[in-house]
Amino acid sequence: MTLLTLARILALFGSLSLVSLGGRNSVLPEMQRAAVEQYGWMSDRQFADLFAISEAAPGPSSLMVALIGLKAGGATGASGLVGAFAAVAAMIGPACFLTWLATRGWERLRRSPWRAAAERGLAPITVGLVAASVLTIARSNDHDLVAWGVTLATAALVLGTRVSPLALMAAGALLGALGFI
Amino acid sequence: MASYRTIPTSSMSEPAVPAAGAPAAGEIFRAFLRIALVSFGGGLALWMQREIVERKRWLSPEEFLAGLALARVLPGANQVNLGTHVGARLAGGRGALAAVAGLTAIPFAILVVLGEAYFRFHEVPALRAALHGAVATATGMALAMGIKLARPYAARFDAIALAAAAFAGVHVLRWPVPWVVLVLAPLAIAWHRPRASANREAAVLADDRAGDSRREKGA
Repeated sequence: MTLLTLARILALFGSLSLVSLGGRNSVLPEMQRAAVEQYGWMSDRQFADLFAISEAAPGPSSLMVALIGLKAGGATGASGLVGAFAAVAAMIGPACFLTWLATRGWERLRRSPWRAAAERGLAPITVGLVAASVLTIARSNDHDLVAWGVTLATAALVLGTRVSPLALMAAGALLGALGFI
Repeated sequence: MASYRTIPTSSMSEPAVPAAGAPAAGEIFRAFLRIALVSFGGGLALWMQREIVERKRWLSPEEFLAGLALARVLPGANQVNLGTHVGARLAGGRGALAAVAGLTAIPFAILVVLGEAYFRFHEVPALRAALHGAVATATGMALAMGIKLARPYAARFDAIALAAAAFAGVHVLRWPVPWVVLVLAPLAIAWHRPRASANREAAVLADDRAGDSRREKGA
């Protein structure tokens, strides 16, 4: 990996970090444009595959930039690893710093009754947004009745039984691999 | 405010109040490591809720949800922002670093290994099909936890209206999430604006709670 590539990785994800309002999905088109069209790091199809891999892997979805950095850095070996690490550091560093500053301000309001009002008022909004996110994920993945059925059955099992989430996950992956979903 | 501090705190008997005591950075790191490991797809904030609020009781449900709203308004990955916020509240800058490191270390390693395998062997259809099935299951788990999260508000009309407005903002008006929060948050805060004695009591309780954790941190 050349220094130019490293600089491009840092500049691209460092700037996306501060404009990615609402998380990775708001800057996905911009990532795709830069990685595929502008820098030619990968094909369109590879970009879509990396998206799918990052969706199924554990952890924050914004870590998808590790896969883009890995490919930009040479796909394998130490060079790829440096690219992956640089992409993640650039993507989460600036935004984390801003959040840390905002949290300090939030803590300073500790004695204010306005903070209690904010906590009581913001919580239901978040409940609505969580519901909205669930629908978004379901729409992008569940294209037929079987997949919707698996999603709803999983929800019922989680609410009604004590079955391990990881076991459910493995069962879903197995059903998918066998071609049922 | 000082005079209110003589009121005995009810934090021992009140189940909604998190157990006092600030965790060490190492403990925060391990908690977030665990959260990252069990989360798939979009359910991370909900797994965090389960670990931080239900299991560890480090934050109350409302503190956590308000933090989630804050994390969503700020730029950057919501989940990483939320980790930063929770870590910073529990143990300052060290806590924030511990949370973010815990949240990203193992997923990063897994992604690098998966990515290398992908670029070496390219596409295996069975693998893709398995991923598809796993995401369908993960969505169901997110749905279940969303239902759990909504239960305390089931009988409160104002909360239902706010939640429905937020949902409609995303899926009917198709606004970006930050806009939805920036429009609804001032309305929600105005609705719950500090009034008379009831709110003052709540604020004092919240203050005592924070004071408890601060004292334990110093000890």
